[in-house]
Amino acid sequence: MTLDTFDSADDLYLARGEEVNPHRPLFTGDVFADLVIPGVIEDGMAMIVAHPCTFRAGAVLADRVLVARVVPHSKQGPGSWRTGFYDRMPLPDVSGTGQWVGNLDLVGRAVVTDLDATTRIACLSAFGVNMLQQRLTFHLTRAKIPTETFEEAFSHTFEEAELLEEWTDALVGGGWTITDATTAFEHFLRSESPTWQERLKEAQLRSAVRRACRGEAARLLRNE
Amino acid sequence: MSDTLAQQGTTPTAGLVATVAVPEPVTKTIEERAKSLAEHAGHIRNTTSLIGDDAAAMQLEAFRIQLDERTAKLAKQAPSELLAELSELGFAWRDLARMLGVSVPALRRWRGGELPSGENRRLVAQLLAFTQIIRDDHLVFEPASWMEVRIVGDAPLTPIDLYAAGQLEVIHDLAAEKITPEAALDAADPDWRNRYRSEWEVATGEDGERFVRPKTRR
Repeated sequence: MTLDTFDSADDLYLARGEEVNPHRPLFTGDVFADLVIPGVIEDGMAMIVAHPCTFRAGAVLADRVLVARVVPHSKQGPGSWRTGFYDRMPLPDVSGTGQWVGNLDLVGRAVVTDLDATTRIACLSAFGVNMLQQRLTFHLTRAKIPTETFEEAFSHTFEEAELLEEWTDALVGGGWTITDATTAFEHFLRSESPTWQERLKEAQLRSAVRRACRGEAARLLRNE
Repeated sequence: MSDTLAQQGTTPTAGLVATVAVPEPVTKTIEERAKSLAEHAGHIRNTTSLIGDDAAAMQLEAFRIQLDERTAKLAKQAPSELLAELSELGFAWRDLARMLGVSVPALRRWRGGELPSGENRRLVAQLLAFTQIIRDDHLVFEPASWMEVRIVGDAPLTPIDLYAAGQLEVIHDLAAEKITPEAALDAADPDWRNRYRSEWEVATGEDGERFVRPKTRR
């Protein structure tokens, strides 16, 4: 019995360090430099382990979100994570070089307003998020679910986050505030019937949603 | 073969007798005739197969030449313009990054005007050229959508996955309907049936949200 693993550290991350886009919405797997976790004594880095549907309803965030403490770990090759350390999510080189892990036993509900975009140091890739969900599920229930199944089930949430990031980049670049940009995105995403948000759940419709979203952002900027 | 009558006998007119083929003995069995037909048919099939293989190789060579030619032309454009065209097709930035073998932040920088390396510039042009070929020559409607959909329902592999793995010719043959979807996956990953066998499936709950459950028996 083996879990899925990565080939190289780059497979796990969407962005690290200065490459993290402050306009990217909070998402599962985000790593923060310094975060208080109620009930967890250790200080330091933390990562969001909650599913996005549990802490965000569109642009509206819940008061608290489930996070796990990120701690140093002995260096392990990618293969080690297939057959061991099931209570940890590997985060190689998440902060400079070195091995770190999200400790899935050191968890608590952090205050969302403490999740400051300026202290976010890493965002996981879609594969990284799926690997985190696989390990968390296995650690809590001993149910082994392939990362491909998580991808099929929840990739639409990743799509939505990417669209919001791109939309915010465009509108803020055109002088909008982040709040106004986010509000406009929510309004657009829930327009039409079926809504654009619903259409994101179907793979063959996603490209049409992206084109419509990009077109609408451009239209809003032209109308300024 | 049968002897001619001219070779039989010694009369002066013997040489004037026209050659007449002697028909096959009527006693040739049906089984022998079937065997002869089977050998002839087998020969035709082997020849046809060889011709088919040659045609396939020629078609792929033509595709490679066409792709290189179009890539060279597109590479003259600014990379930011090429990426804008790919964006207009509807691709996700993370999928573009995967197909190009780079990070999403790298794509963001190129979109902002930073110049990629020469090889990366060529790869961006090649990706756009490829989508144009499958759209224009093989009538793939909305190539970004087509490339995002599973090739075979049971396996989570899409043309985007194959492109990221360098399997451009397999995708081309799939778009040209020269191979079946299963054959395309066989070419890309012979073990796909075992690798993606799963006891889990995705369903939609009463709240309208997706969840994962054990596969229901049918």
